Amino acid sequence: MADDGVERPQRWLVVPGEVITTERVKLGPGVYVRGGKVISKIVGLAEVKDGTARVIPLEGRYVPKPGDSVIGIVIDVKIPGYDVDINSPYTAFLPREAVDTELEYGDVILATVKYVDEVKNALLENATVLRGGELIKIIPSRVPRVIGKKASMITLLKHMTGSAILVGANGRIWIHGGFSEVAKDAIRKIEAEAHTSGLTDRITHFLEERIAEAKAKNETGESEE
Amino acid sequence: MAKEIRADGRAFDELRSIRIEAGILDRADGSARVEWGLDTKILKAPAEDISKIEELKNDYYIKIVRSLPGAEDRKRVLQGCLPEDVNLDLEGLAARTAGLPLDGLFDVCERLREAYESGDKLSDSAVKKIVDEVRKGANADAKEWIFVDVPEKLLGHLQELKDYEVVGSGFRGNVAVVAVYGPREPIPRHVGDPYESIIRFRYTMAPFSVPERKRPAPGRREVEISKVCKEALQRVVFAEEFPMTVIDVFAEILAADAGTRVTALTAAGVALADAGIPMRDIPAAVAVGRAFGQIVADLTKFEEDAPDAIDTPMAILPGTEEIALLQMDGRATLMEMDEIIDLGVRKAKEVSELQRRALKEKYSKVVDNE
Repeated sequence: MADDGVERPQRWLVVPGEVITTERVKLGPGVYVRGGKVISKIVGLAEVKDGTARVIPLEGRYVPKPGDSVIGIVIDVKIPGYDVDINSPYTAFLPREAVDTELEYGDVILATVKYVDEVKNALLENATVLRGGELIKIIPSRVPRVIGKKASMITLLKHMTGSAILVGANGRIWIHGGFSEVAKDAIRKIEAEAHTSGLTDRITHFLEERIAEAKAKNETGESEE
Repeated sequence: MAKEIRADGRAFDELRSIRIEAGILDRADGSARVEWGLDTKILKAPAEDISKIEELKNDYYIKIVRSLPGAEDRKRVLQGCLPEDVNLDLEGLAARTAGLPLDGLFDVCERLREAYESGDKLSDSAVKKIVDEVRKGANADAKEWIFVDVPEKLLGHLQELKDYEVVGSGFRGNVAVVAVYGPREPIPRHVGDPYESIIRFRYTMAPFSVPERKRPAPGRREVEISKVCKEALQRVVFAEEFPMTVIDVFAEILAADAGTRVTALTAAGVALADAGIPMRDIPAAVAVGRAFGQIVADLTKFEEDAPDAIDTPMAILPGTEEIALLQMDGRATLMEMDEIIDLGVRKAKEVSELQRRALKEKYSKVVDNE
């Protein structure tokens, strides 16, 4: 999942079992070798770049990976720490010493995955509690598009809507303040069109239009008061 | 039966028409719908031609959609419409009312009841008189029509049906909707395997999927189909990537006409891919076999019921031609078996092509690259 959001023409849609290349290449995520051919495992965008073949997934659940920054919800409070739902088949555990404050059931936290064991259960660290705002959920494999190349997309979103936005690798996004409705719609649009190119331009256009609309609405609303 | 074509007008190695759509359900992680069957035309024919059409029914896969009630139906109508205490020979009356349309039958009942309630004894001759009068009236009425459901491909072959007006079109075949959930937490927890993900496949047929109501409880047949489909999929997905999880596959058959397990498995392959689950290949399934002395692909119910039928549902991984599912019903020689498997592999690859196209179409709606 090393999509950095760059628009490249050499990407094409593949489905499982489809041959990507017959050349000798390094294997990236989403591919396997059968009879000397590199074959896709998943539905996604295939790419052969710098001698590595990979498929960028379009669907699928989140599987925790060390170093990922995730947004979780506390689902159980225990003596040594907290069980956290990270929108994944696997649950995560946050030790009590890894967080400054006491947490309660239902608290939303931003944390980093420290370690993943052999059955993929995750250990979290560096947790901060997120208060206010709202959470939305997108398909986790499309998160890289929401962030964009060198965080270009997320910067654009934050800058134009004035919202505080935190994106978890597990597909949860926290939005607080600003034109949060517009930000939500824009993220939905990015999710739906994650496999297309020229996305940044379309989103810029979309944001400009919607924010102008929202501002106009606010002004008329104020004058009525 | 004619040797060059099949009972539904297809060539011997021709599949029925297959329509696949991926990602039809919002709430599931992955989903697909497969419609696999014959496109048909509805013809309107005068009722007096019924015997001619009934005869065609022996050799061809046509269906009479509405016709004059048969003897059994007539008896049931009479039983239901006449007063319970009336002492009449229903068998005899049913035979006597042969050829009457349903409306005429109701008229007969109505008049018999009136006569009975006014104290008439309903002697044989009185009954005969009533039936004859109604018959006269019914015949004087507008013409009675029947409707015949004929596979599109058969239309050009049957001279007998040429003159009838086409009044509509239909579909006769299998419809399967498959939803995939997961990988997700195994519930109950103890079914989880610390080395790989477990696939749970549940095959169910809707009560209305077949002509007679099917009891919805899963029986021996459903359990078997669920098991073989599960095993076909278990080695296709990279299950080791998701230890301690389950992948739930729910296959619902909404309409059935021979070949539901291959329809379900074909849909399941697309739905699993749509759920983003890593797989070696998308399994493609097809049923092949023998009917009326010919090796044929994709049998219909009509062919499955042939006296010499062999039905061999199979699923392959199209890339390597590995067999993921192979079952057989019937008796075949070794040579026939070779032929059947060769044909099955060839046809499954055609199905595979449709599966791939369906998955890509899901994204082509918004795609603008390339």
